[in-house]
Amino acid sequence: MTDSELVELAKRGDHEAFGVLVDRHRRSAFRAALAALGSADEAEDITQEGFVAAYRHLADFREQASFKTWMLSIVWRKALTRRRNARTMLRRLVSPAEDTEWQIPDPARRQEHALVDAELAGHVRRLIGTLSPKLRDALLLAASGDYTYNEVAAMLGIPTGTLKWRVAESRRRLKDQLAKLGYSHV
Amino acid sequence: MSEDTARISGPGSPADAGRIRHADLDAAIDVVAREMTSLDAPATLRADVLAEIAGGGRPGRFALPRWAWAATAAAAFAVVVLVAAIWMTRPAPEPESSAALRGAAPASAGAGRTAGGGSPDAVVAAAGSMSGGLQNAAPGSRRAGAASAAAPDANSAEPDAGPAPLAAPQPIAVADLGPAVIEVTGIEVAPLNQLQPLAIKDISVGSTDPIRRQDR
Repeated sequence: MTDSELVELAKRGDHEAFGVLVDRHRRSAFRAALAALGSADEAEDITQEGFVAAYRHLADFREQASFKTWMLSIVWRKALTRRRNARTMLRRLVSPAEDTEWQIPDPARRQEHALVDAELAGHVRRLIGTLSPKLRDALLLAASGDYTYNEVAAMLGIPTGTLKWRVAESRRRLKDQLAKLGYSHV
Repeated sequence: MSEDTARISGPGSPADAGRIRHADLDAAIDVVAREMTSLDAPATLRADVLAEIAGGGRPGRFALPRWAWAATAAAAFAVVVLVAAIWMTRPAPEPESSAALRGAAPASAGAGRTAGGGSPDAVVAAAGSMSGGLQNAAPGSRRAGAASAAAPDANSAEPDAGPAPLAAPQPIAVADLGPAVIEVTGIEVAPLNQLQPLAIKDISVGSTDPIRRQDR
């Protein structure tokens, strides 16, 4: 059953149909929130809020975009609101260490991680944390592998070209900073 | 890509000695960035969402409902207003000298009752007991005399008198701070003086310096 069919059922009050949509898109929604907030607990909370808000506004969904894109936009806006609120800012002020910002990667990624020197990975993680939010969001969402460029651009509300520039600019700045640390490329 | 070519080492690595391929840094950035968002959503998310949709559900763990924020803000405002009102209406602290005099008043009143039996002469008697205190003090020690006057005198006070009554509060006379009323009996409007016409001397045609020409 396609997303559109499930949406139609959910609009008529079929909770189970909406549950299928939640299962189908919860990972991408959760990772978007995680990219914005850096905290799994808060990302889970925002993802849940986003799905509930989407259900309550299903009547507004005109299928001009895919359900996934629409859903991700809702979650992203909620995540940004959370990121801007005083509590989140206070938490980051209290524990500003970059290592506490993002959770430990899942075991499936560890093999890939083993290809990268741990020290370099630590530098990259710290430097990503120092990027401006616009650049960091673009880089994390594009690198996550869960979205297309068009989906990320729609989520951020920017043209695809702007998104690509931000990703490239993020990489350039990171490599410049890494070069200052001795990781020069040939 | 083999593991050797993909491996990225730090500047301390003897093999690469800090020379890393451009693509390898890109790969390292990709790997780390992907790791930072590589967690999976909890499996209970679907059940939680459906429960919240069905029954109003639980609010977010970090978010309070708006009415709770409004109530909290209103309560905080009320507390601030209450504290400010109490602080503004409390009496000003008295200087030490008046506090000492008030402490001396009961002893004087007790002495007055003993001597004068509550008659108007009590004030005079109280003054006498104060002067007696001063006389008992060491010569030249006015401070000690004042202290003995302020302290209740065990010898002069009645044993069963109990605690001395507080001095009756006197009404505070507050002078009217408003401006005095101005009475206007009659208003006469006098005509303004007529302005005298200005006398302007003629300036001859062709002159560029009227002042000098007038002087001449």
